Amino acid sequence: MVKEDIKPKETSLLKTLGSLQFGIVLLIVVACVSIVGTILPQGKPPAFYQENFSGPVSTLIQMFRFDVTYRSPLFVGLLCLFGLNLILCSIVKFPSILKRAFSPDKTPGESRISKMPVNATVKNTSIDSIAEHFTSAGFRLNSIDSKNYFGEKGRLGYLGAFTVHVSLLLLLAGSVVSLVTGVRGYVLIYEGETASVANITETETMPLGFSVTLNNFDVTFYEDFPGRPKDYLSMVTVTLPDGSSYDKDVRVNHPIMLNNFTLFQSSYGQEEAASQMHSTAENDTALVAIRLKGAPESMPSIVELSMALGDSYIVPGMGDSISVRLSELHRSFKQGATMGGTMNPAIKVEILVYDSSRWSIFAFKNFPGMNMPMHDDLPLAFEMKDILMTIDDIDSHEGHNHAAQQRYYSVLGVVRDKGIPFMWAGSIFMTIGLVLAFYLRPRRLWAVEIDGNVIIGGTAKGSSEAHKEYVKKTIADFRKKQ
Amino acid sequence: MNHTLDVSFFNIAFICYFVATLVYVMTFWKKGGAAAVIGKAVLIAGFLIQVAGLVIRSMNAHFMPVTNMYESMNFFAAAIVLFYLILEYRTKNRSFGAFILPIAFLLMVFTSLPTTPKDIKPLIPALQSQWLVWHVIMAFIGEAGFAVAFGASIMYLIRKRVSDDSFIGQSFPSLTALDTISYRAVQIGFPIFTLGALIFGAIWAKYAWGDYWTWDPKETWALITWIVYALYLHARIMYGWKGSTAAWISIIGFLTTLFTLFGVNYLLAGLHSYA
Repeated sequence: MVKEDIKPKETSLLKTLGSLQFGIVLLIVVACVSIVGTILPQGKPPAFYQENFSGPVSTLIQMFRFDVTYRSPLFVGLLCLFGLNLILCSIVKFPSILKRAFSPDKTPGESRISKMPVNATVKNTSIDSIAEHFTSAGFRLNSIDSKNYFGEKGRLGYLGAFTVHVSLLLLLAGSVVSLVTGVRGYVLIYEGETASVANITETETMPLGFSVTLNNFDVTFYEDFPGRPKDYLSMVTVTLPDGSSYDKDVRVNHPIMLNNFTLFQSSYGQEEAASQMHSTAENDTALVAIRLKGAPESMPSIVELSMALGDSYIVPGMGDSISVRLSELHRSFKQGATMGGTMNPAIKVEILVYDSSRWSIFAFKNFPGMNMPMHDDLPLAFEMKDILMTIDDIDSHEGHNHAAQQRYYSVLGVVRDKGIPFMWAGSIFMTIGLVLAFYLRPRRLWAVEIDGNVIIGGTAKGSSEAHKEYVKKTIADFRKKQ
Repeated sequence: MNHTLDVSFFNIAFICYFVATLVYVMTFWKKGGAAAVIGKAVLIAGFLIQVAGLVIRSMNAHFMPVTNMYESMNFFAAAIVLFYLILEYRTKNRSFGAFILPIAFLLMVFTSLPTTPKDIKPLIPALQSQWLVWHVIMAFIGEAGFAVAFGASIMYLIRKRVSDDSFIGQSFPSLTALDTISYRAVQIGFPIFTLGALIFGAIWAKYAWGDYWTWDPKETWALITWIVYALYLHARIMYGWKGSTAAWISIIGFLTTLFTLFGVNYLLAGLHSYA
């Protein structure tokens, strides 16, 4: 009893999930949620939404994760349901689509033929001569016997809509694979150097499975348009694990695609800035002026110290209790993902009270008045006057801010995406499907001979007007010939 | 370098479209006569001059002129006018002109605004791609189909509200014909738009930025546009939604198209900031 109760329910649930109505509702909801994602600023911290939206709205945003709309469980769930809908409706319809395309009823009989959207009767003729005429007019003969004729055109058009739906499934599958296996990172290579791992986060790397040597990097600008870049070009040699190698020019729009990785030209810089970012600058010293906070500018600083990384200095005039220590020294401080550009030397100073760290603040050479963060209770202000860089590979210490040589580095964005084959397959299926569905107009003709007269019936996918005209014209031609 | 010739051509095309639109709007009920001949002649002249402008510009820029708003709107307007001319030729009915040509004219108004930069700038590296050319050209051809469907849908809704004896009833095609034309226009536009705007756009994005799809507002709105027309087609085939309902969906579809083109650029920010 129980079993019998459940079964029809399951069937009807599957039916609903695979129905066109459900698909349409899903698409409308997907569209609405997508709109929310384009209007609402994405990826902001919760405080942002609390500040800018009223209580209930901000709660809704948090609840449905509209702060990351396109990665929210709601949206991903909707897409999964849409995929399920496509699978179910494709499975349900596939046999009938195949049957419709490849095994139509070849002898439907007189009563059905005469009820078809296109029909005509040609008197005093035979099935053979009609068949011959339609064939010479462009219809493909499918089957014929002494009494029945069946011809058709554009049969693959019946598979168009199905192919488009399969392509959507492939694209959806590809995006799921990308979402699950996708990794984004970068490789930074100096000219003449080789990289074989991608940096995913600050500490995490991922082997590429091949290595890339940057032979040369070049950036060119348009002559008549100063500052308008024409080309970013990384000339690289790609070496595969088996030792074989080939040269490749990586430029914007011309990435390396290998091992599910896409390496695309993303950014570049020159060694000066590069070494500042990555060198530990262990032997550098910073010239730091320490002032009393809030003191007028005319008042001289308490002291100017040439500080080395890690060393502590007693601040004069404050008793022995307060000392400062240089805890970080950046040749070019960077924040976020921006790279290259002008140098931004910065220091981080710790203020120790009785040898225990109490405050730590940043000061920037290019922004003299700025100390970050601004501690209200800190009595001192710091100014980074200069950086004294040591350049290991060069003997002379000529200027402070001059780089040893202008060697370029190139940053290649790295995306690992195992969804690529799905995406290509989906794109190809989509193209084929759209052409079949919209540009092939399947047409069919049946004819049956009864008492010396031939009754013709025809169908066409979509509008049958053109088919009707065609059949009329072909019959008229036939009569003329007779 | 003389880059002003193409701009002059576009300006002349603009004037032609203005005159043609005016003539078509003011005389749409006339089946023939001097107005019909003049209107059509000026329209065709404007179209040919615009195409010549596009050719000159592509020779100057050494690239298909579809890389900024000015160029692509000129292309879009030309595509709409071409679709219209084909439609008029096939239906032998010029009342469509009063509803489709104003779209092309308004696009030209937009291109002529002083705030729209008209100079040829060489391509930044991200735009140097054949996928870009196919992406933009096919997206606009598809959208020109949507523009025709929009015009026919508006006519349908107007025709429905007037009697057969009125001059509108006399000059417009039948309701069935309007509905069919709108449907055909979507059928022509939809596959081209799908391939151009979505598929080729995604492939280009993969080559340029490493990702097919980043949910940038322009991509998202193109997808929303696609969903609207997908609904139009499905509702029609499966439920037989024709007539007014279909007309309204087609109107919403074209408004979404316009928002994707303009609204996103001016109201929302994203990777497509140059287009």
